[in-house]
Amino acid sequence: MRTEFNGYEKHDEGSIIVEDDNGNTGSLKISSVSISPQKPEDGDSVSFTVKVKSTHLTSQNMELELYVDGNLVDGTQGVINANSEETFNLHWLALTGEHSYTVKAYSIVGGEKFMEDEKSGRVKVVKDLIANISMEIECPSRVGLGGSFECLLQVENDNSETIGVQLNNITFRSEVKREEDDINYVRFQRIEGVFYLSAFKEVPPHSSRSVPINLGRVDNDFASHFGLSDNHLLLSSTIQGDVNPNVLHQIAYWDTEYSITLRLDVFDENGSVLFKDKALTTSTTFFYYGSAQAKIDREMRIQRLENFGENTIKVIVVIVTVYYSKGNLGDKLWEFVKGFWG
Amino acid sequence: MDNFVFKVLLSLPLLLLLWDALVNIYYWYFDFSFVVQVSLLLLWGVEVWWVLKNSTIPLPVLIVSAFVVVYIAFVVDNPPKLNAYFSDALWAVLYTYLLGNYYQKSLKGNASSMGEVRLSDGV
Repeated sequence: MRTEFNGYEKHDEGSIIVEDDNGNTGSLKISSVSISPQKPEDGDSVSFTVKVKSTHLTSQNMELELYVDGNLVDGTQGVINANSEETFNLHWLALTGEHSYTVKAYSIVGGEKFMEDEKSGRVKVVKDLIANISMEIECPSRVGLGGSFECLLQVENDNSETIGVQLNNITFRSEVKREEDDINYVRFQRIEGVFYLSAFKEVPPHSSRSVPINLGRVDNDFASHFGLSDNHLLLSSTIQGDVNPNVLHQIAYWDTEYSITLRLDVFDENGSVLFKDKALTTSTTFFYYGSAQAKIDREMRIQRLENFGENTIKVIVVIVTVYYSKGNLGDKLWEFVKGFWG
Repeated sequence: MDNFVFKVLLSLPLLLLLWDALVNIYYWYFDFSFVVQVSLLLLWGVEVWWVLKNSTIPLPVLIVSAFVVVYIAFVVDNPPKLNAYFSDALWAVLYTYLLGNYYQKSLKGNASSMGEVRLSDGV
């Protein structure tokens, strides 16, 4: 401080302490409030980390209070040292919706609370929709080629808001085995068919819905106008030349398992994506005319038994031939032919 | 002995056709080949009955019917492949040849035994 008085100059230095009516000095300031988790979901315990800075010359008793939508939800008391910053935690059980919060800092002097500072903000709590959605794909366990084929997507929505389900595509996949006439020659062929779907279904709150999965394309390897294609190449096969004497090369078609993968998106009622390209997988068995495999199995068993009978007869004929040909077989054959033709 | 071998040979088509028919009946599988097998069974049954009763069946009749029965019985069980037709034909020829020879032998044997009987009777 510099003063002038009648040409004299006086210089002095020092500090001034200003006290309030109660004799307190300094103040408490909320320097920051951070929320964890940053995007809380319904039911989460939300932690408010509050940093309080004290400019008091002495340590100070203080109290923090957390108000959400104007209601006191948590509070804590503590002591903050002189000219320091302390961290306090407050908690709140999150409820769905957008809320306003206020953190108030009080100093406590003589058992009385004095408002020092407050900080406000907003917090948005989203409901954990995903945990309350269950989905399952249901397809027939066996489907005959050329028959009708329909899968259903069962969606159960236990949330309090509507969700939307968008079907993207469905893929059929199998490793088809082909055995040729030579039993040692076996080859595998990977068969895959993708159908692009465009179905959208809303599922209201606390309800379940069945979404039919119609194959979007027709007249290809997998689908026809009426359902599943009757293309036999979708099945594993074996060439059974000696199954049926009336057909030169009969091909046996075996039951063939296909894995089916459905991909879909799920939205909340605001259009936000809850699931993107979620995959649901199941399997089904394709077969040809139902009993073809059993019929061929039976024919093969009959064939084997008949061959056994035939081979037994041939063995006996060979034994008799050997017994007969102890003499000169050629001469006897000639005599027989001469005798037969007279 | 020749008579015994002849009878064994005679009964072979019967056994084969009976076996095939029984297999078909056991699996309850009746198709055209079953009808053929039963028809051949009846035909050869008549032949066998004829031979055993009279022993004077004409040789060509026996040979032709034996070939037909054995060949068709073999062929009807096998796929219609060319090599199967040939091999079945060869088996049928071999069988027919043996049957014809043993038939003649058995006839000779019968005749000689009858002659022995006559001699013993002092005729």
